[in-house]
Amino acid sequence: MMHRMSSSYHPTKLLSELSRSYDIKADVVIVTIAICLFLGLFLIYPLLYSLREAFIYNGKFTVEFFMLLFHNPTVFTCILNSFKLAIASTALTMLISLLLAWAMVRYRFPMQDFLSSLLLMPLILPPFVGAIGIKQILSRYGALNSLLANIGLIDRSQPIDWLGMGFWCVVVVQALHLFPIAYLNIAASLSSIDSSIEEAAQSLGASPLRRFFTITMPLMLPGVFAACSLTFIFAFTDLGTPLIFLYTQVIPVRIFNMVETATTDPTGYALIALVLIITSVLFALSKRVSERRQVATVFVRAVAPKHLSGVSGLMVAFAIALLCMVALLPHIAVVLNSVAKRWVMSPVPDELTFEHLLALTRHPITTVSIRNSFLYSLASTAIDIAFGVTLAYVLTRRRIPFKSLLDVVVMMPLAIPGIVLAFGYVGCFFGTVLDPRVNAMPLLIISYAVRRLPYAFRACYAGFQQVSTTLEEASMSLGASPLRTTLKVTLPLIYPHLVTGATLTFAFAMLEVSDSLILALNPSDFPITKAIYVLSKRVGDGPRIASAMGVLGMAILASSLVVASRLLGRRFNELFRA
Amino acid sequence: MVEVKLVNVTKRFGGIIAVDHVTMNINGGEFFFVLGPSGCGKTTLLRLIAGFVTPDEGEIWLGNTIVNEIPAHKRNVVMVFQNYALFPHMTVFENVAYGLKMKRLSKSKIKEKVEQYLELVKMRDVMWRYPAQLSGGQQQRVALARALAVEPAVLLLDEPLSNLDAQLRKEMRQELKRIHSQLRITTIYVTHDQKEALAMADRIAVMRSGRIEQIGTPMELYRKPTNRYVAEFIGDANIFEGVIEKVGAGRMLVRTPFFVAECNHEREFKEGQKVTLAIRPASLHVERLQTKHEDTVPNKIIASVYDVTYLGDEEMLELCVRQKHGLKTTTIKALRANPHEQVALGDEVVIGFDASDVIIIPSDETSV
Repeated sequence: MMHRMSSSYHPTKLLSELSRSYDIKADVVIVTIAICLFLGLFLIYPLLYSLREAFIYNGKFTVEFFMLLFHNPTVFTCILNSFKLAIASTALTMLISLLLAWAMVRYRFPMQDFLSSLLLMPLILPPFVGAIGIKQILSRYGALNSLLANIGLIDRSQPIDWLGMGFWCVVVVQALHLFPIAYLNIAASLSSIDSSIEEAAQSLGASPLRRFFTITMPLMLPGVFAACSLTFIFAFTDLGTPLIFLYTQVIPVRIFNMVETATTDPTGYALIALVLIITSVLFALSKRVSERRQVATVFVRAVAPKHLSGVSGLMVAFAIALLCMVALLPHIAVVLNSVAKRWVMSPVPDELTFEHLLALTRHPITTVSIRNSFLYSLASTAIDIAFGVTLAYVLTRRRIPFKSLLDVVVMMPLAIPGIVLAFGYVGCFFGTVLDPRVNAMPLLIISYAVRRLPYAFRACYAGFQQVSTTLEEASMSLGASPLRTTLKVTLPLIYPHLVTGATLTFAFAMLEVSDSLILALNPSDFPITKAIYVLSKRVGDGPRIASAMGVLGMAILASSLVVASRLLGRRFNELFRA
Repeated sequence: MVEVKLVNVTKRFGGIIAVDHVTMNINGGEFFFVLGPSGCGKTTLLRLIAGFVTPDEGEIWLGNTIVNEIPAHKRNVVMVFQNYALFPHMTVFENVAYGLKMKRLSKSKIKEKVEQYLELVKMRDVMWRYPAQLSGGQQQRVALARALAVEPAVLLLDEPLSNLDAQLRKEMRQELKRIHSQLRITTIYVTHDQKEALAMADRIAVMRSGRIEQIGTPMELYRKPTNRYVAEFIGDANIFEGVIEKVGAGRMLVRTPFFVAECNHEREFKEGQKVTLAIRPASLHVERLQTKHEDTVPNKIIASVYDVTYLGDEEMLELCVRQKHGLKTTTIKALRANPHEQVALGDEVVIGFDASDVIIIPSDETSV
């Protein structure tokens, strides 16, 4: 007791004691401080700033701005619409992905492997780009109406106004984009149920139906919950898709429109606070659910899937193929749109041209934005990998205090929607050297880096975890210095993880939507996504050139995913889990 | 007390025969073991009885009914899994109550039974914990209580002790024996651990490559293995091929390349017939060589010490023996209990054994 007291009075003694129970060396301290500074300044500070602006007025706490949200009828409509949208999207996504996961995990049927790789395809395009394609198909004189007219279902002179149902357009496009991620989460949960658990229930007398409700369903709940919260948060904070479909009475669009008045209107921050509260509650809930259901049994083998042969197998395969087809419709539409010269009143373009694709190399907005996007993405990837590697090293190889706290902070950006972060940036860096109105480049790079840090970190962490420390110890006992060991043993072994982490970080940064739309204010700073948005608003060939850029984006993301899946093999799917 | 009967049961997975025409009877209330190396089909045999897989051929009888087509949840046969398979989202109480709820017992009855069976396995204190909060041994006990609580006709145990450490395993062996003698449920226990089987079983079926090699009491399997595989699998054995030289009343003389053995026999043998002899390391007496002529006598072998493994209260000797009329050598393992006289590497010794300790396996039944 005495010892402890005396040590707390002598800071130097305390430090030396700390360094005895942990190995705190200069390098660890520098790394930790650098990461804390980075995340503190660009993650925590903007959030706290937004919360302060939302709740503190003249130095006093107030909920007045917050209440204003519910008293202003327009804002209140936005809130209601956003909830409706998110609930509808989540419901549709869950319906698709639950059935899909059950079929893929519990059954074997023809063409399953092919279909399972096809199911990831929707991920290669941000939904708002797909929306541009879908808009073309669904427009009054678009592909769908002319197809229906051709087969005589509708009168050509009275086309159906599909886009008038903006709400449902957004829901469908979001669901078609999100179901693969939801499916992967649910399937992971479902296939991690050991066969012995269900067999135990069976041998204790539970019928198949009871087994499902008392054992299987509760055990797959973590995956279902994770899928639900991911889907809900995405749909709730998605800015691009509602913008394209002109379904503008939702929170993200409202926030987007308030960027210019950010410094004068506190209700913007109140909205941000609302979004932040909702997303963090959901995130915390799903974390709790997944932690509570820790599996105690040793995993031996998964439940053996049932072979579906004959007609039933073909029917399941057909249904999933159909789903893939529908999910790829936005992609197909974007591709067709990018090569269409004329596409009016016919199911497919009447005339093709490469003009729009070629415009990518000529049009001022496209060339600048492509160059910008590469620059931003490369820079943010470099930051993420540097932080990811060092942090993963520190967390797996050193004993340091507050390990779990550091871990939580690094994973935090997963729970922070892009609009929240970007809006916070606009507010707190207004008038500083980082002001996005002057030069958006630094903040865009930083926001990409912050948002993707969890992915890069997770990839690096997995790498370090996989390399047993005994290998490093073996190397050192054979006479290699720590540095040499890292260079000759550790790095070569974790290299696939690093490349994967980098590739994915890069690819997702290229197609980052909400922060790009909010932060890139001058055309000279536009990244690809903002350019796509601006172009799609232009009359004439704007949407076509936007589609051409979408094709470029798809190509970049698709090739990155191929690289990543080659390197990671079977573990590839783990990247998309919550 | 339900008896279990398997008639010609066969199960194939793709091209592999996991269970190959197995026929056996398990008496009501018996503690029956299925013993074999991993991959021999013993777990599949258990899963066939549980109803998780259906046989391709043959019949499975529980009491007086063929259960081939009855699904697992209607058989009243309960399995305890190697990994315990406790439901991770339920407390210990809920786990044990699960099977009782399926039987639609009243709440008070369920509570009573859960407490009764948790008491039996001494796990009442942890009733409200979740499986993740229990140690391996505790999980094992809860899994057992969960199975016993439904009062099954047959209890199936799949390597139940393999995930426990040596000390706990010993303890649980005693527990399982106690519980079995208390409840007298027909129990089928699958393991690869011959010591476990010898120590606990009423009867053992030794299985290899999907087939039953021999069924018998532990004593029978150890003393009278019917083939070389069983002789070597149950306990240790020195194996010699030989030819019968002379058959007398109850005794006969067998010549092997290394020695001549006089042994007891119960069955009919002919002179000139080939046989396999198995002698347990523990049945061999090893003494220092006194005179050079000792190996002209039957049941004596001159050997030199090749290796000594000290095991505390006993020592395992590996002894090198040379052919009587040839150059080949072989090693014989001998277990010396409580050794007084030290032997050193290279020492010349005489190995002796009793006629009653020689196990005779007719060579046509030898399957190696």
